[in-house]
Amino acid sequence: MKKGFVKANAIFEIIILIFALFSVYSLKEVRAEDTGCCFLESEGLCSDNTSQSECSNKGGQFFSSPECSTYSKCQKGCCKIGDQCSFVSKYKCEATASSYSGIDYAFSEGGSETECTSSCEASATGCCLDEGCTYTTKNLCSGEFYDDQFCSGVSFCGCKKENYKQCSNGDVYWYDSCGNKENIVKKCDYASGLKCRDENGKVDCYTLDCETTYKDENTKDTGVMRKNGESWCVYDSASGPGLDAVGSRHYRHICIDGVEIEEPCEDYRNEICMYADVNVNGQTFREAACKENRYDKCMSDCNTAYELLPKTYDDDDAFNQEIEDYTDALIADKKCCEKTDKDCYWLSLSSGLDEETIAEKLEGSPILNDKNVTEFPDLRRQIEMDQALGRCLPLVSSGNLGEESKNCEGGFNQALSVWESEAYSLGGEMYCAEGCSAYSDNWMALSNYICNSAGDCGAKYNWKGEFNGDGFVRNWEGAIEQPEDEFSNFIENFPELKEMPKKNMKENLFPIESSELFQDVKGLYLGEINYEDFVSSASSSGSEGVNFELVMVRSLGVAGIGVSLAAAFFHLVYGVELLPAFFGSSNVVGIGELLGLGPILGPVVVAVVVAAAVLTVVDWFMSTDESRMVTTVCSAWQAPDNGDNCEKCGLVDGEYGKFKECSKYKCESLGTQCEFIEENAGTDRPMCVKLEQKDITSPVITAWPENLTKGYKLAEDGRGFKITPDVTAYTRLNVGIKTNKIAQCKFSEDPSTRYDAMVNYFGEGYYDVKHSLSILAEPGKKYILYVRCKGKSSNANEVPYTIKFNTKEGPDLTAPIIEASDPKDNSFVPYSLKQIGINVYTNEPTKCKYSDEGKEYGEMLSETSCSKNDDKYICKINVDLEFKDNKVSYYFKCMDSSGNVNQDSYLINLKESPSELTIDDYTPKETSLYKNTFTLNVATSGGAENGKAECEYNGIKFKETNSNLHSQEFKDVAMGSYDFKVECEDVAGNKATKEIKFAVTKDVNYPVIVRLYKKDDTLHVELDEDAECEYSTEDDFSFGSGEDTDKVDYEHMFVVENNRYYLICKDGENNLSPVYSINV
Amino acid sequence: MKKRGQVTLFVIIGIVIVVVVALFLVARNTIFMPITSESLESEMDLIRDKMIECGYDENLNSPNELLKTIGKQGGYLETTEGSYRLYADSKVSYLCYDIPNKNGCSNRMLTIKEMEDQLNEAAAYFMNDCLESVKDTGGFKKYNVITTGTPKYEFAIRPDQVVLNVNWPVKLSGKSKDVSVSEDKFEINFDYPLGQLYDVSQDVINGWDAFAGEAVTGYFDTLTYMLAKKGEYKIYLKKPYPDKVYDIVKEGNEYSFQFAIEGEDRFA
Repeated sequence: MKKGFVKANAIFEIIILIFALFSVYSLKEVRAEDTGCCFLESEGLCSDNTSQSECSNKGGQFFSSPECSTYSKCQKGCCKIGDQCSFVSKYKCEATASSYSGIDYAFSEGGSETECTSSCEASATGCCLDEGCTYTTKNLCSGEFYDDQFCSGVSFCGCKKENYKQCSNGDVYWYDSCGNKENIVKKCDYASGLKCRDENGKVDCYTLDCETTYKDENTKDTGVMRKNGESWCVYDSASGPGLDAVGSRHYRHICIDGVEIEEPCEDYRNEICMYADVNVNGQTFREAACKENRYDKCMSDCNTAYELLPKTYDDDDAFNQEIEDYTDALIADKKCCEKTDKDCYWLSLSSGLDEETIAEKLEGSPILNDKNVTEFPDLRRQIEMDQALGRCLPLVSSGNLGEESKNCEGGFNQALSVWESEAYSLGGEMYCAEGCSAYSDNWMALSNYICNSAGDCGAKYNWKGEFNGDGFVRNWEGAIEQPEDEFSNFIENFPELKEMPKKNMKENLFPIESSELFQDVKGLYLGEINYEDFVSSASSSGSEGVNFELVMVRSLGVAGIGVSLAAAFFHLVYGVELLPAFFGSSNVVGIGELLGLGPILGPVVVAVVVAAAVLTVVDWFMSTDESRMVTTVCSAWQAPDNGDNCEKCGLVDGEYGKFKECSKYKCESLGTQCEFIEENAGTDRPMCVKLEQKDITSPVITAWPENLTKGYKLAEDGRGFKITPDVTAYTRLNVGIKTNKIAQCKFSEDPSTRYDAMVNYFGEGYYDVKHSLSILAEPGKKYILYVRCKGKSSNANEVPYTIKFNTKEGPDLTAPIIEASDPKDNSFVPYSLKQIGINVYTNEPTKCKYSDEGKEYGEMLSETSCSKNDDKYICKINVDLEFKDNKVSYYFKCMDSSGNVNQDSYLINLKESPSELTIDDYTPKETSLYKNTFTLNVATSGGAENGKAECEYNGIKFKETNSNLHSQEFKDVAMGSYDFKVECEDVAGNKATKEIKFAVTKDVNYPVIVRLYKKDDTLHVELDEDAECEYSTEDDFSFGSGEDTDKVDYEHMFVVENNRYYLICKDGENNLSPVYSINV
Repeated sequence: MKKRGQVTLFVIIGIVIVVVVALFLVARNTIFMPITSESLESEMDLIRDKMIECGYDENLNSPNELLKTIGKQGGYLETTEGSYRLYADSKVSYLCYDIPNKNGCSNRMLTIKEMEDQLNEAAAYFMNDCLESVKDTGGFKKYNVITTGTPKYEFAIRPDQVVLNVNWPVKLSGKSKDVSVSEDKFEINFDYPLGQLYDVSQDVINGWDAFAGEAVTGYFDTLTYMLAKKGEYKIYLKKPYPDKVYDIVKEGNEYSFQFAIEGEDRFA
């Protein structure tokens, strides 16, 4: 092994620290087990994204590409079986046809699904006379066939023509009195939203539109008629930067075949619902999609400017430089924010500061001295800075309820205010001169708005409209003193400055009216799109190479515009860049209009930013006594400390499970005492309950007579009930109980077993108020079931509830059944095995005997030992194997406790393996291979089936195995030693192993930097192998055009004078590394 | 005997005659049944009916109930920890597992054969028990019921139905007459389009693009799929965090196939 490689392994941990000093760009992806396409010929199954091991286990053929559509065996065509057509692969067609005995099939390659369906409809049909009259295709007729004739036209049939109407393939057809299809009555155009239906006995084309839809109290435009194929969004609250309520979720509703279906977007707002209105030939279709919410980098990566806030006020040059750096950082943040790989929104905090505003501010002061503002470079800098001011916020915040508060830290805000005694004076009482609006409610509202954008943070509402302000606090430094009369207006504008420094957000200070949050919410509306523009823009936005125009043309023939719209829109939204036209607006007015809320934030922002921007100008010329920071603390939102609204979770129109299903996130946002019951998800039972923390009483159990199996009665006795009459043996009895609160119940046949020690659930173990149990009754037994229940927060029953019943003694006239055996009949046994254990499985307690020939039970020799395992009875025996002609037979018979004996024997034939299984040959035999692609081949012989076995190498099945030849191809393997432990096993359990070792000596890996450090002016580079290297300060240089380090070694060095260098290395096998970029 | 007593006697005799005649009419087919191949064939029909009755029994282990269970549990009758999620009172199997920190999922590759094998094994326990009474069909009748071995069960999952073939040689043989009828195989049909619903599930897992004719892995829109199939299938998608649960139903049929795709829990 190369010296450099060994060295790299040894000092890797130390290198990580050194790496922190430099940036090195070199990526080598670490993958989990690779997945690919698995083809299973027996079923014609093409399975994408399947692991190689899974594919081997199923006996399939593995291909490395994850998508099966690229392989010829998975190519689809038209499969015709009988009179049915489907668009599947050839192998799938064969497999399906084989499940119908005696039916022919035909397969033709290529085409489309539409063409395939049409070809079926056009097949030659007629009346078939064969034990009746049937209208079918010729190939399905084994009798006399009347081509192209209805059965009503064939006199022998006696069928009355056009007797009634019925739907077939979505259209209206006539049927004769014998039930045979005849002429079409009416074609229902699915593309136009029509389909055949039988409504109250009338068969006709009916509309597929959803005449009425769910009216959501929060969302605008719901409860209206929707066309077939339309989809729209439903929201729990307003959606947008800082708007989404805690616990809220987005939903997509679709109208399909007259039915409205809700598809929730992923919870915690990991997905968001967006929609647009598409105009097509004068009609408007609404299309919506749930899209991944890429919020996570907005605040962390695109708000870096805050660290560079200018603060060096006593050094002009340094301060000016800070402003420039700050402005550059803001511009970079905005660019980062508006990149289309994230779902962020740039909240501009620009006040629109320009020359006129500053001139106005400084009017009358000696500063300007008849000069223009633009003649002051510092003022120009201020204007540029103001125009770049802003914060990057997630478009829709994620739901992080329950996570640590540190996840809200990105939502903090701060401002600097200036306090002074008096202009050009010394001493005196302090008053706030600039930045004073940081003490205002408006500033607090804006800061809280930024905090809300970080997630479930700050002072906010939950989706039920309950407010909590504990997650947001504003702090300021210093004491507030009485201002001078000259600024008396100040106190009128900011009376709260007399109050204590710390302050929390109150509901009445929330920046948006709650009615705007929870009524007629417009949500994430992308606007109106014209169909033709939509198609061209979608195709130009380059959605992964899909040709939208071709897509549209083809689709219209299938199911009309609705389908193509849905698909194309989904393409657009799902993983594709958002059209910048819809989200390009970065000014405050724009976001307000977009969200339908109006320019609510404009005045607030202007007031704050003018003050902040002019701050340093004032500071420049006036004596500043003190600067004070105003900061906010943004932490996790707190749920109400009660459980009053828990049961409202998932309740719509008085029902659970209808729409807006409850979830853990929704439930926990309703109160700290709300608990989500996972077991009830997807049902119509309550999913969110109030923890009865002070209620420790155990559930009260009563009988549920309606659940009892018919034919039986129960009689309660105060502590349980008894069932009469006696239960028939080996039948299932259903019993039920009810509890007075949601509880989980268990049972035992031992009265002393505590609830936690019980292992049998009463029923499925759901938390519910009704519980049902099905029990298999064993004969002649007295059952007493001791039941205990436990609520979510209550104690379990101390005194158990008892259920009693008896089962009948008999008579049992049925002989026991031997249901299975292990080993099975006609199995092989391993070579040279002398003794074997045989298990037989019966359906009731028995005694079993065996013999080597068919005899009566009483004449059989040996008895087995029998026991019970769950519902099964197993009898075991060890037998000596005495093969004759490689075969031995055992006859089993059993007798139950009532004396019933098997008349027929259960025969188990066992076959001997003629020889042991051996691995005869293998390749490669060489100890060293100078190639990276090779095939591991193994040949087996002997065993049960002449060498047929399944082989694995290092626990992984060979691609080709299950015969006596086994092979596995390896492609592009790395250099190094390989040690394969090959293990083979055949059906009898005969095993053979072999170890195959060799080394691959061809190096296909490029040189990798393992260590990098600078000493004085020299940069030292260590690689994992010997190589020659070149470097340059140009990033687009290629190997051969750079500066040579003049060495062929694993260590290289060169003098550095610049900040950045690029390095390429090439080893002796001409493996060329990528361009390493090194920041020095 | 007095007149009144005579009347009573005649009344009693009359009642007895009526009862005997009635018993004769009811039992004549049993006691005096002529044994012909046609009559044995109709008796064989009773056995076929018994097969169907057992197949559709309410017992949880009957073939009908097993088919419903396998539909609700995503193709698996037995589930192990980590291979399913609880939803709508069912243990819904994952047919595609999450790959941490990676888009897409790892296909579990459920096959038709896997489902058939599970059903074959599970149905045996109940069906053997239920069919035990077939041997007693002869009873007081004038034929013997001869069965060979124990029944072997083979489910065939077809696109539009599931067929259970019970391979069990049954012979009805006249006791006094040399006439017999035999049947080696019985068929029980279930109108459950499990094969088609399974195919739809594979389209979901493999990703499906209605128009390009190519699968786009990880991309699946229920609406475009349902529209392209002209509403033949309804796909109900729910997202109990962090997974997806699909419930597929064919138009005009209540049978459903439900399965899950495992998602990544960012809180784990």
